[in-house]
Amino acid sequence: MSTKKRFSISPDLANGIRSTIQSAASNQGQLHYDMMAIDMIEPDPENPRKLSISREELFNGLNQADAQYQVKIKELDALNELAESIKRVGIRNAIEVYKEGPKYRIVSGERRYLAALLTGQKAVPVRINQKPEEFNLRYTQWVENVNRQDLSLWEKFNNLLAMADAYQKTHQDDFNERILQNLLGVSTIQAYRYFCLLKADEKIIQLIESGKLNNLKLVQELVTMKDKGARNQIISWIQSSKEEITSLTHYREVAGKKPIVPKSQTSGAVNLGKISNVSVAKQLLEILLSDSRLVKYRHGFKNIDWASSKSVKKAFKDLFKTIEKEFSVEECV
Amino acid sequence: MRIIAIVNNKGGVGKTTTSRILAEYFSIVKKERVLALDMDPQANFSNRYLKMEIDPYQQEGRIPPLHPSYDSSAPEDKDWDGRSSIAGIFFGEMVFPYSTYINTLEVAPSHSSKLLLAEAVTRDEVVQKVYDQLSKFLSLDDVRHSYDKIIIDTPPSKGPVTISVVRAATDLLIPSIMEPQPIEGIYGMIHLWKAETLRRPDHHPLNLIGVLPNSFDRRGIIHKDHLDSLKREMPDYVLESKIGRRLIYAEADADGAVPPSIFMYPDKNPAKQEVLSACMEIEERMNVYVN
Repeated sequence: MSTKKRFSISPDLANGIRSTIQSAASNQGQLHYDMMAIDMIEPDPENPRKLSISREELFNGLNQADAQYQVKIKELDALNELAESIKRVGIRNAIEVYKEGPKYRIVSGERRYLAALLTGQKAVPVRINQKPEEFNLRYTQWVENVNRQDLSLWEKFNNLLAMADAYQKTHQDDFNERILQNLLGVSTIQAYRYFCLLKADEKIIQLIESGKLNNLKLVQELVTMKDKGARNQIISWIQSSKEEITSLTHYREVAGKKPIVPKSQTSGAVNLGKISNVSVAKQLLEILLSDSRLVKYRHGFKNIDWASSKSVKKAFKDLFKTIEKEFSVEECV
Repeated sequence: MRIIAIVNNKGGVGKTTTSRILAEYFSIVKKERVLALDMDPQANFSNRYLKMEIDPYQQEGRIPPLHPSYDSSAPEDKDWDGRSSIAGIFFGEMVFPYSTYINTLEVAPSHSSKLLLAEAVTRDEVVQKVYDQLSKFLSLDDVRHSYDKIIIDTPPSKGPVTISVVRAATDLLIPSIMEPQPIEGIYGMIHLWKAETLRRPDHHPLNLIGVLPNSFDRRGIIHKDHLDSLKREMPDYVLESKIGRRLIYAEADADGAVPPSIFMYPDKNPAKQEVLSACMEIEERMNVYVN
């Protein structure tokens, strides 16, 4: 029997054709990319990643009197850098949007959007999604944002809060640590810390907002601290600190050894005891008034009648008032 | 309105012949209002219906003839050189289709140098504009209300012009000879189809009519074997009909051919029968999708 030559498509090509057809058939509409006029796009006002710069400031310049001026300058620098790269290579990753009213709202890509405005681009690549459910939207923004190094704890907190609200609405249930862990895909301890963040009280949240507290672990330490006095003390220290706090160890040691009674709780007065020998009282007064901080008050204690217990009592009363005024709480420590 | 794009990035596989057949089927047989668009710089599709002229500035280039409604003395035509091509959409020009010997068929012809220019753009923003331009033009109310079918012949490439056609199309037809090189062209085209399908919203799909075996020779086994093998890989997308290798297609393509269209041959003519059945299958496959 003669063997005739048979022809067929090469295996590689056959493979390619088959898989391309399958992929197209099962993913219709999954990647709806387009070029969109930049005027059609608006940022999400609820996006937890709150850029400090607004569209208006981008064009009108920053105000030096603005309290946020330093932060904004930094942000603007970063945007300009991004704009430079957009000028060179364009926007490589499409901005994700969904239809909201007459415009398209950003799910992710707000920085790319602002940088594109800076470069004067008329149109940008977008990926058009269906309008996500509130919870999914917040979740997407979380995923998008959480690994950014420049995302502050305050931004994370807002994202988490928005997510918790959306979750509450859709699931009629509050977040717990387990749900958080599953959703965020983080370790148990990390989930616990985020949970603590959600439970943090007003004072701690204010510290986070001011940027002085920007570390999740420290938030957990503060929230779970049992000694309320020490905790309040540490909070007031952080409040008066000018920089971001990176560790609580030092504060904890000090606060742990000598619980300080905050000024607001003056009822916790200390009785200094009784001295029966007037000359000891006189010496004590001399010693105290020789302290560098009190020397200047010496003249006020010249005319004490050491024979009169009333006069001595009054003198000591005045002296302690002065000491309380002069020695701040911190110095006592 | 359906927009049927005839694509294959390999040359000589029957794109222009298929475009002609479809344009004439829908206009002559179905009496529909058809606009033939020639996006191929070679301008062969245009040349079947118009007497294309040689571009004085470019060897081998073709430009459309003066438009019959052009009046050089009329003030409204003052800024117009009297020629109109579909390539004008890439240059902000108006497009005035030409009428043809078939009542319901109009043609927006090619313009070699302009199409080559559009095909050669590389800057990102410009490329994006080229991509969208045809789709914008075809969604104009004037166009949508004037025609039932748009038939688009394309250049043998996967460049910006072809992509603009794929973006604008509602249906995609891939003619191919059943030989290794042209079949690679099929692969390139389903890639374009896939990319476009992923990009489009659900309510506006791009229907892949399928592969139309062209110039099919029943005598050897190479065409049959390749066809069988292609059907195994993409069973839903290979047409049952085939266009055979016949001299009559070349004859009908010649200048001054009589009759000018295959659909004007007697009904018994085997080539006409073959072409009719292919067109009917294509129409059927289009009706599966309602755009």
